Amino acid sequence: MSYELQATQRTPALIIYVIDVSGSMCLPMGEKRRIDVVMESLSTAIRQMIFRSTKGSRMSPRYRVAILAYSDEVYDLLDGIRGIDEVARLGVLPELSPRRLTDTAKAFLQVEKLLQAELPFMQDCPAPLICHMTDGAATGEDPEPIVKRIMQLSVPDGNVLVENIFISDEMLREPIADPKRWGGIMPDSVLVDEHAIKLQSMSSVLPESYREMMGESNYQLNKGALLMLPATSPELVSLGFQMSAATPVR
Amino acid sequence: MTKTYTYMKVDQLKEMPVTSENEQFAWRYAYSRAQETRKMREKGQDYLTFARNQRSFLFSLCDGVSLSYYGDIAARILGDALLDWLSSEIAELEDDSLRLQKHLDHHLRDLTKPASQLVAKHPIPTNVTGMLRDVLEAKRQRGSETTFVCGRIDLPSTRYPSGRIIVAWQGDSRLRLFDAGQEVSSCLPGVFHTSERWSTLHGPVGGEPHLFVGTLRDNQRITRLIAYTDGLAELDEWGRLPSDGQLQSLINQAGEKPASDDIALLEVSWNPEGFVNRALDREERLQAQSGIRGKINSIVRRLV
Repeated sequence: MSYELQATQRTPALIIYVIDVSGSMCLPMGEKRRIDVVMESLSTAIRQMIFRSTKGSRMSPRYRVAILAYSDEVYDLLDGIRGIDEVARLGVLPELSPRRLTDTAKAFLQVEKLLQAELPFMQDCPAPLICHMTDGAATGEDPEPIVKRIMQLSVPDGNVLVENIFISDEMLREPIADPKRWGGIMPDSVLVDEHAIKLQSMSSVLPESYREMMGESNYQLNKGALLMLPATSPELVSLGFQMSAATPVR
Repeated sequence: MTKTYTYMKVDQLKEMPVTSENEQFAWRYAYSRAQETRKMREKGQDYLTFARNQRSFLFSLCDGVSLSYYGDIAARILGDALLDWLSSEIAELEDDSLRLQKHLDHHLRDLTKPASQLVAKHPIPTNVTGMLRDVLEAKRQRGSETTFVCGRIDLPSTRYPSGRIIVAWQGDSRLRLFDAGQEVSSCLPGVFHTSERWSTLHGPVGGEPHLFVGTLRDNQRITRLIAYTDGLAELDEWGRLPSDGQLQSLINQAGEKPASDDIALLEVSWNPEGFVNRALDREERLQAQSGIRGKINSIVRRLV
């Protein structure tokens, strides 16, 4: 359980994005809508994966990606899991339109099904990562038991990782002054928002190899920090998505 | 003429199994592309070139950074430029390490202008479109990058009675020195760090290149060196250097791994005691004398 296997063409990393597209995602964040900030950051993360997968002008698809958007239904934006080379050929990511509710449990159930189908063929690959982005409390069934089950799924490289990016201004007692000097949320950090506390218990510990990759981009996250981001600014949303693509590569 | 070199450049488009040769120096070298690169019949991003005559052996070994714009471009440009520098008058005559280091640093900075022009002109295939094209253009803006190890070994001569070795490097390509079977790499100052490299845009990245100058038999006897790229990291654990067969087997095994990388390797050995070629010494003296005689004749002609 080292989380040190490298993402290669023969052993690609699987990253599943789970994106809340409930009505509140239309609220402003800076000068843009939350949903637009999220899509820009997702696009940046995809470009980062393309960047890391390119040698000369050839892409060796080191990543496989699925994008699930959810509100009261789950929308599979790429129609399954796609190699990063296929995503690159799309040119742009499909657009997201905000809907009404936030049925997080339904989305994670679909993630669980995807993983159960994929994991038998991923025994030599890096542990998959689920990157969940939301801006509010889940409606419907409690997602926590499903997420806990997902976190117990594993490959030899480690258990499935779950990252949560939470768009909220009220999660931390003190705002983050400089994301590059921020140490991250620890398992015992005191959060002030009830939904944030739930997400804290649904977040994996940041693997050392990921922390080192983030360190190369000058982020100083503490050892033992959680894969959880309070997305109070576009920069922090971007950091969250960068973290999702920090699987080691050569 | 001792200054005339015989050059060798490995072909980045094919594998070179472990090959040994023997003249005044003995050397063996190998080149192997990453598995994915071989399958796609593409150029490797490592580059190895060397030159030798009866008295000197020069080499450069570069590992193009695949996260940069076509790392093979930087590797090739720098590899050839380093060999030019090693065969230049300064590298031949100067033995002060600080002066050599400064000169090399300037040489690598000056190289950025023509290298950047080559990167700017380098075409991206027309069938590359969409996000991939955007990413490649973004990479182009950041330049092409490579790590390097290079060196020059001069056998004992009138100028260098105990012989001389110059090695320089930047990045994590390996360079190891030996006295017969005993590794003596601890005499090398500085670090071999992944973050250090040469960039077509910035020149040396992470500080000036590291450089070491020593003799072959005074304070520290040095009889062998080996340089290789990180694709053959498995060799790090070998205290004694493997036979040709063992080395080829290591290269093959590394190439079978999912995370296989390009491999370039050069090992050079020499006898720092045995080579005193009187004929060459006489030739050098004659060259020097004829140079002085030529200059006197030229002045006399002008005066007349």
